[in-house]
Amino acid sequence: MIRPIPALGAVLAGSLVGLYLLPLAALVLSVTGGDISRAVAHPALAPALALSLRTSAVAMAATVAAGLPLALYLARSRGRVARLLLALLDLPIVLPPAVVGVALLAAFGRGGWLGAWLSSLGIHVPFTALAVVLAQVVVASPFFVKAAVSAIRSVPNDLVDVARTLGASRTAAAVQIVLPLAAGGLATGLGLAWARALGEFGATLIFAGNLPGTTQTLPLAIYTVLEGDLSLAIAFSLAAALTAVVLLALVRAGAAPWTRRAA
Amino acid sequence: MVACSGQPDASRSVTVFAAASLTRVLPALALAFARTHTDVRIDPVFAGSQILRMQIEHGAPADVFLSAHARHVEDLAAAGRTTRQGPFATNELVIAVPADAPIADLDDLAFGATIVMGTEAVPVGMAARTFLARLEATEDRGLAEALRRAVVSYEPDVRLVAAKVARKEVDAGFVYATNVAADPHLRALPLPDHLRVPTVLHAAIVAGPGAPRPDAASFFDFLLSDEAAEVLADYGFGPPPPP
Repeated sequence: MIRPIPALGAVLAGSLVGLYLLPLAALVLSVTGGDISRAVAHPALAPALALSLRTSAVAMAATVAAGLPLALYLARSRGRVARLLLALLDLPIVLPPAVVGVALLAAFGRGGWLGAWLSSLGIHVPFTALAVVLAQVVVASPFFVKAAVSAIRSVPNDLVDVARTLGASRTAAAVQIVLPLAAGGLATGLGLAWARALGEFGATLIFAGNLPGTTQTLPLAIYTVLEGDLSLAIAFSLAAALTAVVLLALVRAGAAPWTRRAA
Repeated sequence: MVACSGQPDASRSVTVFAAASLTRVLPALALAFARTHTDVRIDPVFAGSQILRMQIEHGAPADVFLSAHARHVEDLAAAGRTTRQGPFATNELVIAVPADAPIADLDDLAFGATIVMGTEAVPVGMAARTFLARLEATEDRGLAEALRRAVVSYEPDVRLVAAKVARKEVDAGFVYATNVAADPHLRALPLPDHLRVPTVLHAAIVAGPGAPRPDAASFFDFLLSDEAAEVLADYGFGPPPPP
């Protein structure tokens, strides 16, 4: 009889779980009722939460709209361009967010490549909510696209071929066969991307700045109140953690009927 | 006692938590300090003073804390987290614009300009708020209001403010005179004397869990020396106010 996990493995796995749970428990336990009521009454919390939800929702809509066709192409193409693009998708994930922020400024800033041209049209991207959305799309969408590529690849090609022989167009086959079967993986990717977008800090601070009501997302608000009052920042962080958990649960619940149908 | 080997060993180091505005001068101070203390290494950590102060409150291993504002040092002292403290240099708030920008004075910022400043807790942000309050009280209330409305971002430390102005992402930013002195891309707008906001930098020896660190004390004393004052002056800092 082989035990499923040897003792050493159990200890290592357990310490990893402990590392996840310990800071979270400390976060929850160190907040008093007074901190929470102060946080709720704080003028920065509601606008920051609303801005985080609004910008990340727009970022995710753009991610799905542009990311799905990209993922369909990347999943089915074996060409050199597709392989190169897949490798490029890792870049925003491994680059420090501050570097992404500087790069976005270099592109969209006043003196930047696109920015100079946009400026001449009277469009200024940095320090606007649009900059917040752009930063979120750049750092978060690769998580969705990568997950979508894996999910789409896991759909057997035979099914698509059968649909095509029965007269379905490529688009119809993708929409009616591939996407429903890949829904579970797509939802996982969307959840990951959304969580990353909600947590975005470094690129946002550099590219979009920190202005309450306009570009101050929840992570920036946490950092700003942290400067003066740690217990208030902890209460804010709890709100951020709750928001992420609720959104992840919603995304999963939304994908559930699709996943069941596919099964 | 271990014989002196000439190699600085790990125990002979002073960890200095320093305000972001000291980013350029501290390495020069460390170099000058090393002339008389060859076996002591200075390990600098830079951030906004308010962040450093929070880290020290939570047990960060700082030996010496250099704050751009008295408040952060005084609060630590009141909590018994410092053993000695005092002013060691002065700086001044300025409004920086890109060196080649067609901006002559404050009034040019009143219409359609974009401005960045520090948050409420970072010393450079506190000084900017003092400036705006003074402008409101002594001059044009409308101008102060216009400048406040022109702010597009509150940054956690002065380096980020200066960088955004130097890159011309904004028209102006509230920084220190030393930032402008150090960066040829920046120029300070002229201000009337009654609107000038001087700032005082404070040093403190942080009370650690172990025995007192004599090297921390010697670096603290060095900061108050004429030698240090010369280095600080080279980088645009003024002498501490007379006691």
